Amino acid sequence: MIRYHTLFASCLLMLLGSLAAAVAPIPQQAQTLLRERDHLQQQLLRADQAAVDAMLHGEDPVELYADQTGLQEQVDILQMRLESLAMRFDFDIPSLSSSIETVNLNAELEPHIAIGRQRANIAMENRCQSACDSIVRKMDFNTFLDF
Amino acid sequence: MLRTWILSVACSVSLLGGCVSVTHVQAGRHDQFRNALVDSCRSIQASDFHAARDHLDDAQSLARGPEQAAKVVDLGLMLDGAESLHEGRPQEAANSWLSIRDRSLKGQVIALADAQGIDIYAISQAQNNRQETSQ
Repeated sequence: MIRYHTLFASCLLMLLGSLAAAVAPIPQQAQTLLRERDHLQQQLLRADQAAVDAMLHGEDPVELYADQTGLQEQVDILQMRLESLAMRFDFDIPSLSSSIETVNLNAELEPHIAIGRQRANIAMENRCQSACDSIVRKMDFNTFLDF
Repeated sequence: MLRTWILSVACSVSLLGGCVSVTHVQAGRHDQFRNALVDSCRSIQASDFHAARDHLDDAQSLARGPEQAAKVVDLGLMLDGAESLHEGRPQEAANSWLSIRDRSLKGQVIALADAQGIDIYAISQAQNNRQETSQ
């Protein structure tokens, strides 16, 4: 009976251990590398499209080829470092994106500019109010009312 | 003969009286309309936009003919713009003021705004550009 309990407990422990390994979080270092890799990948995809556009205009965009090559090498290096980390910490690497993500610049910028925007809006309200008072006070309606 | 003569004189007098009365009413209405506009203009100058709106409503109810109606519309646009600017919405102010048809009123308000560092045309153009970009 005791043997069965021991067996059951050890099975449970193994199961929990494998589950923990499967959902192992990506370490901070790897997350930073992933962000950098994905950013470079997006740059590379945009460079691909720029090169296509140039070629469709009959050009031979040598500078763009050089950019693409440099970006591809950087992505490869980061991918190798990520694979090394993945082996060490036992996590799955998210795959590389193959499509260009549409970037909403305003949404991206908003967290960085929110305070400035709020301050500008308050200053704008004050400025508009005083400007309006000045404008309407100086208005001469005599010509308009001459009928 | 005398009776006919008296009757025709009486008819003429009453007809003349009626004409004078109509003219008097029309002149009275015109003055009332003008006074309402004057009061509205004064309230705008004092930044009392609520009172200006009330006077403008009075003027609108008294307006007769296209010229007076146009006056009401233009002063309404002037008032809309002033209210918008006062509440910190320069784009809306620019749109209202640029829609004014009275040249004197429009030129004056744009020049005064410019003197305050507000480029009405540039604001309106920037707004149109933003709308085109978003579409």
